Amino acid sequence: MNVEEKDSLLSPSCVLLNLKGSHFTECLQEFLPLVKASASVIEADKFLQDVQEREHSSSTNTGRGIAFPHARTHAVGKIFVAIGRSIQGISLQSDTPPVHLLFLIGTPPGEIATYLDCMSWLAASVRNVNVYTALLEAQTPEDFITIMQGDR
Amino acid sequence: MPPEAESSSASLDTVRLRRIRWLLPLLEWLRPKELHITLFLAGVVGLLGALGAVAFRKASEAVHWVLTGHWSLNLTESFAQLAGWQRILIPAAGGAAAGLVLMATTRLLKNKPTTDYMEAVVIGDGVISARQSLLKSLSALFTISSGGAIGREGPLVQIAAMFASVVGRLAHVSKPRLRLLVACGAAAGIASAYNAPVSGALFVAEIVLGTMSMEIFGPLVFSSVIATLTTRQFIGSEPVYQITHISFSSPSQVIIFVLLGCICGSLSPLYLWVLHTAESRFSKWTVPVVVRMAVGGLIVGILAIWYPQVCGNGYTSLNAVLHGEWLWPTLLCILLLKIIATAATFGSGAVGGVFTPTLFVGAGLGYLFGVALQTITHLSSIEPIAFALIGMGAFLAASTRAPLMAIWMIFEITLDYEIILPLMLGCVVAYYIARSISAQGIYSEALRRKGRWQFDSELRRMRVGDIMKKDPPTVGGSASFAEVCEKLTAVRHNYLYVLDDAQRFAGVISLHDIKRFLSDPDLARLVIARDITRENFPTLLPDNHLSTVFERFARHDGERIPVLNGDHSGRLVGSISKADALLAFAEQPEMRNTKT
Repeated sequence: MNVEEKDSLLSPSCVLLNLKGSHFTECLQEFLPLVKASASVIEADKFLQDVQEREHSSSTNTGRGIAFPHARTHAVGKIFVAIGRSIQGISLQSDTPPVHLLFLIGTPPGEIATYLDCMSWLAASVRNVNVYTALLEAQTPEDFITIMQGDR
Repeated sequence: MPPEAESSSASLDTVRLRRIRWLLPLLEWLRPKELHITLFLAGVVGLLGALGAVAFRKASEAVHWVLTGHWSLNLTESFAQLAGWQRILIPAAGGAAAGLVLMATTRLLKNKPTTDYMEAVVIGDGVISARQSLLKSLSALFTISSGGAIGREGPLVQIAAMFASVVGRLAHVSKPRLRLLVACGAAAGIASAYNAPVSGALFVAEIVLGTMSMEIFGPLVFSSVIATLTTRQFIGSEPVYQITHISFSSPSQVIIFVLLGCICGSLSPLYLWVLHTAESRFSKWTVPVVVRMAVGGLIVGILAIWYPQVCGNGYTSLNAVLHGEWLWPTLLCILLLKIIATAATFGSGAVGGVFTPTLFVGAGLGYLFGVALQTITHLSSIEPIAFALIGMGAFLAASTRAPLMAIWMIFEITLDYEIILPLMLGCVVAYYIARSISAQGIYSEALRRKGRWQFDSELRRMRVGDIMKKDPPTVGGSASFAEVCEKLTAVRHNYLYVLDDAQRFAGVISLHDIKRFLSDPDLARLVIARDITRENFPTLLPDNHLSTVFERFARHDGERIPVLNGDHSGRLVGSISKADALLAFAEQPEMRNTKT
């Protein structure tokens, strides 16, 4: 994936700044309207169900307040990214700290390299503690995207 | 929680990935492909085969010293110094001892796997019993050391092939590769016996396997070369037969060798008929093998009273012919008696080869032809020794039905390039003449009797299950990215097979897909094996025919294809490599039969 392709994945319309749910399943449902509106997703319900199954088999909670729930599924036609923020935190596992940033990712099954590329890029983007703090403090989805793209 | 508060397990994964980041590209660069491993094992086989050959030579000399009081294996010289009764008794006693060992072998090792290297390569599965081989070699040791008129190359090839089978089984190679290694052993045996690496490889490729595909020929050459280099450390690098340089003054002289080729090609079937008739007569004689082999030795011993040159494989006599030491009546007499002695030893069931005796007969015929030509026409300016050399090759080509091997053999054991043109001509002509008279050569007859055709149909029916490698490397679907990377560094394949929770085959992870991300610590725990599994990967069933294998490989550029259980349970039972499939194909009877 080149820079343009990566930038095109991030748009303010894919950012939810105030997730209300305290559990992962509840938060996932908050993404549903956004997922349904995306042209990249073929079957929104199936996609979220696959994400939940994948998360159930092995958590993507990094333990640093960020999680990357994802699925390689036929329910998406091309790579899809949505971001949710929870100020109070979301419980993914009982033994890990609450998550404040959720990066929801979907890729078609055949695109393994694209999937790894996207995961690697998103994880690297928020690795810096200043970026992480700035994202938690962003006032609008536009600000959020600007911070994500800030180092370019 | 701030990002810098990483969990200890995450940092551990990061350390593992960092190590793998450097290790995997290095290992990938250094990682030997199957061909490299086969070449390495072929080299080991060549080394062991040569050491076995040297040990057999030394053991033969020791036994010969015990029997005759002479250390050198120059049987003509040592027998010439023995009294008449000793010349009779020693080969007879040696034959009886060899027979006793064979009897003991049969009684001790009933229902054991095939021992003969040709059977193991051509019709078997590459498994050669070490105990049977050693006992048969012991039997050959007694025959050869006591003056039996048989070649040493038989046991040398057998010992080397046995080592190859053991090495291959210890390395857990696939069945086609094991057969190839046994073939490498046979090549090493011939190369060690004659100080002739190319001929060793060609012997096996032309006679035993009947194919020249590079998949096979490369390891054969490698094994032969290592065997020759090793043998030269012990017995020197001189050509086996020392000859004076031969020169041909006119190209038209070469035409005479066409005539010699015709004669050798015509007489070769008669020579084979004599050998096989003797064998057939002896086998119909219902006496214990001890008696049979003692009688075989006795016949040699009786002939040795007048002509001790009939003893042994014919090496000394051959050198005498190549140096023109005998007058033609003496040579004719020794030639006829030598054929009788070889037929008696070979026919009585002695373990050994007929390679050197065949060379001697060819050289004798060639020499006599040269003398006759000089006497009758008074025109020929070519030395009879030159005809002896060409006759040796032509008769070998006609008898073994392997002209290419015969040409190289004569070239390698004389190292005289001048003879190559008439040699090629003589060998090819002799081969075609012999083939037009009889369809069978020395070794094809032996293979036919050992049931080659029955096994040929088995090869035609060869299935994936026969040649696949069991227990391929696998990883669970929930394994972390770091575990996947570690596993890929530990195995030699570009693909890692993924199993689901029910241990069914779920797909593969390709090293190519993940190579770029090995240095990424973030992926270490975020990604699991299932996330990077290619589900749509070609598979095979154990019952699939080779044609299906090639069909799959035609649409798949990987080196291996996984094999699933035939009961449709989805259980992974093995994998098959393209190289093994090609090897199995090259060894198919249709390929081998192209030589006849």
